[in-house]
Amino acid sequence: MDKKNIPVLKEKSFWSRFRHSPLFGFLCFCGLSIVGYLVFYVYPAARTLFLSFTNKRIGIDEYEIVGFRNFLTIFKYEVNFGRAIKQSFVYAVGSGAITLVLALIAALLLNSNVRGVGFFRVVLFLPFVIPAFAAAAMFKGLFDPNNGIINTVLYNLFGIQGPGWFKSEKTALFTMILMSVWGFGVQMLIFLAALQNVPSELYEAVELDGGGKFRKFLHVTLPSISPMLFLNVILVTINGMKSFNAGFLIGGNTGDPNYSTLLYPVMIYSTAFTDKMRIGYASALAWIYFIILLVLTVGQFVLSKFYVKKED
Amino acid sequence: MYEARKTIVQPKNPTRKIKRGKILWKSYIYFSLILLSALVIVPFFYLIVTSMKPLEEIATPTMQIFPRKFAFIENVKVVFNTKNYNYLRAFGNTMFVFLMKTAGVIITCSVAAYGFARFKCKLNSIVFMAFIAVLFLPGEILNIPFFEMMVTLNIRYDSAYLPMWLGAWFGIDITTIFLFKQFFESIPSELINAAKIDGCNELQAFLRVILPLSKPVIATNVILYFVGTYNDIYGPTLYVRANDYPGKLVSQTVGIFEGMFNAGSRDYLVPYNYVSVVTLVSILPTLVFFASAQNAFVESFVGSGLKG
Repeated sequence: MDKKNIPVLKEKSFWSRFRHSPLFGFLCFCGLSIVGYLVFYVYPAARTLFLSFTNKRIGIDEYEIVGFRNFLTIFKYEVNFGRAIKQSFVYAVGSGAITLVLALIAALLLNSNVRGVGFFRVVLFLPFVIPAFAAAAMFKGLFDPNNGIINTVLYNLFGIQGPGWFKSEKTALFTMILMSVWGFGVQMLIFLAALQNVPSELYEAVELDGGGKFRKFLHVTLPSISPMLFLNVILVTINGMKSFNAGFLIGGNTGDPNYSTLLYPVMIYSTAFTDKMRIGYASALAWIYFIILLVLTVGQFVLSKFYVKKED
Repeated sequence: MYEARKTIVQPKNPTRKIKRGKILWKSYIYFSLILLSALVIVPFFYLIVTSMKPLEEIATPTMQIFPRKFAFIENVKVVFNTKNYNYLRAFGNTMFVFLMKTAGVIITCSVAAYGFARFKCKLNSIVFMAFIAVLFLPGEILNIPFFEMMVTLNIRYDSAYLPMWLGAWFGIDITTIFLFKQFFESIPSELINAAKIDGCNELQAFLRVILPLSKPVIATNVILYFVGTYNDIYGPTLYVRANDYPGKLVSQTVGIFEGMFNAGSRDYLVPYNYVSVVTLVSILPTLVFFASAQNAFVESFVGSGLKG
C-alpha cells in the first residue's frame, strides 16, 4: 500500500470511506434485487435441481433420494416425453415458419408506398393484442367440425365434409399451428422496421444494373434484413418451444384429444401441479427442458454465422 | 419549340406502359393486403356473428354462417345473468393483480437499474453478469419451488393474490432492469451532478430528476404488464381454485361458459354463442387500451422484441 495515504486513512474511519464508495450506493440501490435474486432465482434453481433427484410430491412430507432414476424413467419408459418434445418442436417450427413467411410478406407489402398503409398496419397488428384465451375461444368456434364457419364454407361451396380440426387427433396440432399464425403482428413490425432502414442507394444500384423487383429482394432486401430475420427466427422458435398457453387452452392438462396437443411445458405443468403433484419428477422434466432450450439457442447463434450478413 | 422537343424525347406509348405497370403493381399490393387483412378479420367477424346466434342454432349443426334468428340481446342477458359469471368482479381482480405487479416492478426495478447504471464497481459487474445468466432459465424451473413454498406457507389466491405479484416487489424482472438501465445510461451525468450541487442526495436526485424523465420506459412497462397480466392463464390456474368463482380473473371467465353444459361426459355442448359474447366482453378492455395508446403499444412490443 502507498505510504503517503496512511495518515489520511487513519483520519477517515472505515465507515465513512465505505459510505462514499460506489459499492455503498450500489448495495443501497440493488440490495433488494440481490436478495430477490437469491430467493427467486438461485434458490428455486438449486431446489429443482435437488428435487429432480428425489421422488418428492406436494402434500406428502416423506421422500427419498432416488439418484438418476427420474431421468432414466423419463428417457426409457415415459411415453409422453418423446411425444411432448416432438409436438412442441413441430409446433415451434411449423408455427414459426408460417409466421415468419406471412410476417415478411406483410412487411414487404406495408413497406411499399401505397396509400392507406397505416390502416392496414393497424389491422394486421390487431390479432397480437387479442388475449390468447380469447383467441383460443374464437378459433375453437371457427374450427368447430359441426357448425364452424370453416367447415360450413367447405361444405356449402365445395361439398367437402371438413376434418375434425381441434377434435381429431390427426389434425389438432396442425390446427393449433394455424391458430398461432394469426398473431404475426410483432414479427411483421420488426421486419418493417428493418426494411425501412435499408439504404435506398442499394436499390438504385440494382436498378442501374437493370435488376427487377425480384433481384432487388434477393440481393438487397434479404441480406440487409438478415440480422432481423435471425432475431425473429430465434424469437419465434424459442417462443414456440416455450408455448404453454396454446396447448393448455386447446388440450387442457392432458393434451386432448388423446395427448395429440400435449406440449412439453404443459406436460411439466400437469406432472407438477395436478393429480399426484410429482414435483420431483417434474423437476427432472424441467431441467431437461432447460437443456433443450439452451442447445437450441446456442445452436441458432452458431448457425447465424453462416447466414447473417455482418454489419460493419 | 420546347413542347415539340418533349414529344420527341418522350413518346406517348412507353409512359402509358409504365403507368399501366404501376397501376397493376399497386392493385396487386392492395389485393394482397386485403387478402391478408381478411385472414385477420374473418375470426373477428365470425365471433360477432356467432354471438348473435340463438342456442338452438349452436346445438343443431346448421351449416349456416349467418344466424336465422337474431338473438344477440338475449345472449347478453343470459351471459350476465349466469350465476358464476361476474365480469366486473373478474376485471377488478385482474386490475388489482396488474396494479400490484406493475407498481412493484416499476418501483423496485427502476431503483435497481439506477444502481446498476450509476455505481460502477467490481461487485456491480459481477452481479449484472449473474443477472444475465439466469435470463435463460425457463419459468418452469422457477415455478415448481415457488409453488411448493406457497403451499408450505399456505398462501393462496385468497391472500390478495399474493403469489402472483410477490416476486414483482423484489426488483428481479431482468428485462425491465435492462430497459431502465439503458435509459438511465443515456441520461448525461451532469444532470445528476447539478441536482447534487443543489443539495439533493442520491435518492432525491433519482426521484426528482431521473424518474420523471423515464416516463417512456414506465409506459412501456405498464403496457407490457397490462397485456401480460390480462393474458396470463398460468398463474390463475395455479393459484385460484377451480370452484372459486368470485376469485376468478378475466382470463378464466371464458372457461366458465365453455364448460357450462359439461356434465362429465367427453362430448358436451359448448354454447359458442355465449362463449362469443364473453370473449367479446373480455377483448374490449385491451382493444380500448390499444386504441388509446396505439403508438406506445407498437413501440413497446417491437422494442421489447428487439431486446429479447
